[in-house]
Amino acid sequence: MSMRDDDRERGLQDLAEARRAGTGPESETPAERAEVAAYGLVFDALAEDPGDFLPLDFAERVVERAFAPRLGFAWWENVVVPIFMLVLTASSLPVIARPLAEVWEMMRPLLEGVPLGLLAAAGAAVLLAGMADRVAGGTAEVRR
Amino acid sequence: MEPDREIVRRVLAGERDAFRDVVRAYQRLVAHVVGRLVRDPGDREEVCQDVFVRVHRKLDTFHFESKLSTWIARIAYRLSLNHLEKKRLPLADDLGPEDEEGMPPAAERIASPDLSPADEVAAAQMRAFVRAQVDALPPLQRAAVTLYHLEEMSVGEVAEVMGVPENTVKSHLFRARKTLKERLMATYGEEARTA
Repeated sequence: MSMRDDDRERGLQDLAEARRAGTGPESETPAERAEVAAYGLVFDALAEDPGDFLPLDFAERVVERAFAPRLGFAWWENVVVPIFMLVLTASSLPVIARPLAEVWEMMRPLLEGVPLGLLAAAGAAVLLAGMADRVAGGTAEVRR
Repeated sequence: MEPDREIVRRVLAGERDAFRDVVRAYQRLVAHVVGRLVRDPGDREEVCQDVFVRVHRKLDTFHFESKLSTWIARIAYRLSLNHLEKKRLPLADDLGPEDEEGMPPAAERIASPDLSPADEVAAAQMRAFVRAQVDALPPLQRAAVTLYHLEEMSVGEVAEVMGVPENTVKSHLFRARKTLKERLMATYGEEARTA
């Protein structure tokens, strides 16, 4: 479609809009009148309310949801306490290192043949999964 | 309805009733915007709820630079577009080749103030046809015609809601109306000739 055609269409739309407002002049040709009338129909249809799809208790449901308590990220539980435990453990290591070493020496003959590396990896995986679950759960939001 | 400032003050003070009034006052507007953009009936109400929850959370950032209705419509528009993007639906797809045939003397006849009962029925059918065709328009054009024709916003307000220049709004309006008129004429032109 050319620029000229677009200009003509724009003119017809302006004319239809003016006619709806009661200010537009009469169209000159029957073809033009038909097109302006078609635009008038389009404008009428666009202004018609398509109907409400929301349920009657929509406002109530929204208010309930908006005012529901929001669970933010539990910083104390997920960050502060674990860091405190880590620091406590690290600071107590010099004190408990010697007894631990003695226990280790006593246990060593019993642990021969046990895949310690595999057990450590499994333990680390469980620990990480648990932490990820806490973080994801801690940021969950109450909905409805 | 209460002036915007008073109702906003009451909502910010934590009054549930005030927020309920806001929802009731603007749910039609939000339903129109969301309803024209989100096609899946199952998702529409969810998106409408999201709009008002966002309104509630962000109301303290509303500084009356626009009307409250414009601000709410903008949130409804943005969340609807986010929804479409999440569903990977195109926002500004082309409509393909358009029909060029047909002249509807019937349209001209039923646009006159003196309608026969048969003409009334024909007019209602044609309007229903146009409304159905709106659903086939690209989302941005649907949004523009909804805000302008249904919500009776000015081109400037529509531009504010959509976050685009006024000329872009005019272009969306022009293309949408032209497409609808051509489809109307292509479908009812022949019937009109034989009438």
